[in-house]
Amino acid sequence: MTGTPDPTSEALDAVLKRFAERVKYIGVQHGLQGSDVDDLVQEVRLRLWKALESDERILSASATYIHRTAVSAALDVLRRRRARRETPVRLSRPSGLAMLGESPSADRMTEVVELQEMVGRAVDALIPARRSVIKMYLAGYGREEIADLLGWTEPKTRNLLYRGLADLREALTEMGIGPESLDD
Amino acid sequence: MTERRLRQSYDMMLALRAETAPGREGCPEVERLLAVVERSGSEAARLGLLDHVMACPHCHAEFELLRAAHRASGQHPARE
Repeated sequence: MTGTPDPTSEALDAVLKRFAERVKYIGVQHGLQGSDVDDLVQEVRLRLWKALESDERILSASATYIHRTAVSAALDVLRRRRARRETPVRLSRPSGLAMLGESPSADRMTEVVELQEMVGRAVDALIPARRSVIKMYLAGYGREEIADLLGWTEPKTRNLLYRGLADLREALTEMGIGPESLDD
Repeated sequence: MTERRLRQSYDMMLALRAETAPGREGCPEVERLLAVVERSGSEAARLGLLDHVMACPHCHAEFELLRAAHRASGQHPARE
């Protein structure tokens, strides 16, 4: 069954198409799930439709208005999930164990888990500013993203990152984890 | 240890810790996560929150949704 296109729906589609694409592009870099993106886009769509009603008003909505709506919608999606005590979808992370081999032996598994715990302790022991930067770096954030999130210049970010990595390697070496440990 | 191996080890350590974590009692409110995304508040406070966010899979997923909403809709403050 086909009908006359609804101008309001078409206007919403036009406004939200680029937004949805950008959310997906930004989110996928750090493992945001497709269902999260869909929830957010639906919430923004509903809010624009309720608040603006007509296609003319939707199409002429300012970037600032769309921004406020998008951020407010994201907050509400998260508040509702927390209120329902939903377990958030975990970010997709690579499986380190899987990458170490198809069927690691029990000894190998123990060695790997011990190594992971030592890496965690070494990161936790870093001084606060370097620790946060190192955690972001290990989570896959690039230097530019870290600088952007913290409002830092690129040289300042690079400096803290390199110093943090040096501290981390020093701490790991003191724990007996040298360059040869579980190397590729 | 290569950086790739370091990342894998750290990542798996976080996954193991998350499996034994006792709920979300220590997690910050979503408004505080947004403050980090919008770079409001003191640098020390934001670093402290990021320290938690990067180690908590629940907050990390929420943080990424807020960050994507913020960036995708075009508001992007200038660097210091």
